Amino acid sequence: MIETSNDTLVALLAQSTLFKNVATSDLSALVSTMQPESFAAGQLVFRKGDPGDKLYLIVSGKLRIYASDPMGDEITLAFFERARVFGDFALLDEQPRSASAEAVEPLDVLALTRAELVAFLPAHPAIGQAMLRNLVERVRYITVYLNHINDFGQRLLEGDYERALAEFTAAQSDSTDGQINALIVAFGQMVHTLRSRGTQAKPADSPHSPTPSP
Amino acid sequence: MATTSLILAYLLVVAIPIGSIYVINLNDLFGTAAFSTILVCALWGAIGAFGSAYPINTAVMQHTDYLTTRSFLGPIVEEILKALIIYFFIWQPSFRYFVDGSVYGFATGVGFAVTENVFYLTTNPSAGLALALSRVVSTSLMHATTSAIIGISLGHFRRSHSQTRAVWVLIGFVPAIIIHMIFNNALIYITNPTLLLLFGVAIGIGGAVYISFRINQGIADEKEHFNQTLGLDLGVTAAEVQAIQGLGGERVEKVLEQLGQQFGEDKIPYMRRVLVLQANIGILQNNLSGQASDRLREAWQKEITEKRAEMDNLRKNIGLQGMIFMRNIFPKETIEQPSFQDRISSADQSVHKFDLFMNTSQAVGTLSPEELAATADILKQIQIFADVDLSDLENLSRAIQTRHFEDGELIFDQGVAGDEMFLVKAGAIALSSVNRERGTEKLLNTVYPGNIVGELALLDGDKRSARARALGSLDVLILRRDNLNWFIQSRPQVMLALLKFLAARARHVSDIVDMSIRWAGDIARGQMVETPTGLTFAAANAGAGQPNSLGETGSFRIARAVSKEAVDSTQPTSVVMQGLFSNLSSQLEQTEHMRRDRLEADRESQKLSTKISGMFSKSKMASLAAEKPSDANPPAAPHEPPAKPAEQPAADKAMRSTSLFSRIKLDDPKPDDSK
Repeated sequence: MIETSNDTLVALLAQSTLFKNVATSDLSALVSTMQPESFAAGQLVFRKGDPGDKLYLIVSGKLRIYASDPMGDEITLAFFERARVFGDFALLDEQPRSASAEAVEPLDVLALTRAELVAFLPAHPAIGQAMLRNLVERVRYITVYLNHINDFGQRLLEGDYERALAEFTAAQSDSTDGQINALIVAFGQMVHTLRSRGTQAKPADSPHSPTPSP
Repeated sequence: MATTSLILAYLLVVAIPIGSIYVINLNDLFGTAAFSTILVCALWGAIGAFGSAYPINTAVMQHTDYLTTRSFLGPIVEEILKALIIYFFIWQPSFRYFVDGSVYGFATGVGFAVTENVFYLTTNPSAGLALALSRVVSTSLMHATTSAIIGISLGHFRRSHSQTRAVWVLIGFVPAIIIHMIFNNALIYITNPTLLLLFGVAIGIGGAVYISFRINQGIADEKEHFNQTLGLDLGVTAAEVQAIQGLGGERVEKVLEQLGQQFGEDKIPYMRRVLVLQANIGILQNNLSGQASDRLREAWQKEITEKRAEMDNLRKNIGLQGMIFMRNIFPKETIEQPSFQDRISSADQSVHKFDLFMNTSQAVGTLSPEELAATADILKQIQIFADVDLSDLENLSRAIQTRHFEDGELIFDQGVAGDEMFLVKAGAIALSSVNRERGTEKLLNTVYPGNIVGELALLDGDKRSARARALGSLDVLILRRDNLNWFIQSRPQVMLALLKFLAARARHVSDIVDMSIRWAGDIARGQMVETPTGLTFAAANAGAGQPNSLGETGSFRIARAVSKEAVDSTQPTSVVMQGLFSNLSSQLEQTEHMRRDRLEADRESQKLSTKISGMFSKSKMASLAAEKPSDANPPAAPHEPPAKPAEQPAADKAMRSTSLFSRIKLDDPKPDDSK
């Protein structure tokens, strides 16, 4: 395990959605209850369907998240690197892992089990409250965008491509979140497709007259 | 005395101090006294005190007589000399808890007795074994007792905050010296070994009783002092309470600081925990004295038992003396006072502030035990509380208020920060989206009995995303955010249940985003979208954009019908998003058809115009030979885009419903002037 100072680990943890705005002293105490783990390149970290009772903070290395598509082929869903926290939702909602994870480079992580969190919370209720706040904020944030998407979509159904695109560009500049940005990009492409197809299918502004050939 | 007896006697002399110190240590009665200090005290007693007492007593004897010295002056001299080491140590920084004084005294006395007994044995070798043994024991008891009495008095003197504390010193010396005098006299007259032993034991017991009385007194003094520090003695008028409130945390820290001075700073975290446990036990006892169902009472009782067990466990960390101290300065009557509970709560969040508030406030609309139990059952059905224990929900229900709204009455407005959650008991809540520019109110959803509005607002107090009005005669249950916050801050198990709900919700909406990305991407690539619900939105959404007679749009009708989730009703569920993308996909499909049809129509009309021009050019060439070409060649039929009959009214605006071939017929060509 590469020696990383406690302060660095605390700073890494503070970047995550779940633990942002938590007092440094509380985070420091949390870090000291977390266990370091190491994985060799190619080693499995967890499998889809495994009980999800651990949260991981990547300290160094690279992780690949993957699943099987309906055909049975393996598809890579994402790559995670240093400072990424994952498994946080699984830790809280106690659902089995929705995908598998393996190290693609030698991987060092800090792990927090649910049991450790349960033991930790009573002495540090402030962390629980911060986590609650952060999750609510995330749910609201995503919901707001889904509402936007729904509104834009309704415009498209009405055929109002211009307005949809205009409101879209405004929304794009608001968002700093990777997932939401991906949604906006995909939606933008969709709008373009629908629009160009729609224009192609639309009647011409003036009747098209074939020139009679002499 | 035979040699063996003598050896036995000497052994006893040595065994007594070793044995007694061992026993005290075993019972954790040392308090905060350090072993090294105790050793020094014993050595002083054996060597220093005795060593100086001997020549002084001898000198005194020379000026008076044996009897006077023996019975009166000797005891005074010895007690003072023994006390010197105690006096020295109470002024050291290592001296903490006042009871330690008695431990110092005990050690000094036992040490002194060793030397005195050795002296006795060496100067009275002819004494009988029995007498010798009883003398050894009773002398030890006496010296230990008298010095312990002086020790507790000096300790109390050292720690006392009162002005007249010097009196304590006197109150220590006097009984000690008197006991010593009595004993010395008794030694002269009692020759029966058993009697002597009993006498010694009586002194020991009496001394112990007196010492524990003094300990209690000292603790009572401390109790008053700590009550003052905590501000419990202050009056309870509103102004005074206000003044105290802000400083609650500080006061507790001060208490802990003083406790740390007495018992060691390393004990402070444990003692803080003890204070919290005491406060919570007090609060729970207060809970029990109110109205509650059996289920709830049982839960509270169970928690009290658990907390008491934890307190017993902490005795290992704090020490027996420390625990006795804390239990006595904050006894049952004190910990059941709301003022005590309130002070501790300002220093630590694990105190059940919610219950404290419930117990002390005259909350309007309080529910009966049966109603509380019923409300708990209702709350359990709501997703956000699905993982919370029923007894916790019942406790929380103490904060639930009922309210009635008339039809059409405004419950809350869009854009206004709100921190209450509403549960519909009877009637309904109509949620609508307000457009302030246009001044319109569009109905989004209706919430029926058993369902809630504002579960996220309950957690973050954010602005309401819609306007709520009562539909019909409405009865609601209301839960406020601050009450819930107090409730969860001291109940981690509830906090975890809410976190579970939110994590699941966050995961869910995140999944919707992922799905939406995929569908948008599919449509962007011109592919059709398969949505899991399998509803044929094309047909089902006829009139999707048009609100029905109730003002509800189609997509939300479906959302409500399919989704059993008690969601914040203005959230798009996965069903709604599926509906959206299905619609968009259908639109794409139609534009595809239109495009293909159009391309086909273009080709056809191209063919046709070629044919027509072909026909025209032939006849034209013929007529050219015969006639002047006409100027007014009527244009060929205007090309109009072919269109399939509208499957969706939404696509209507983009399509015309005329077909090319209804305008142009091959067997009936448009005016061809060639004919």
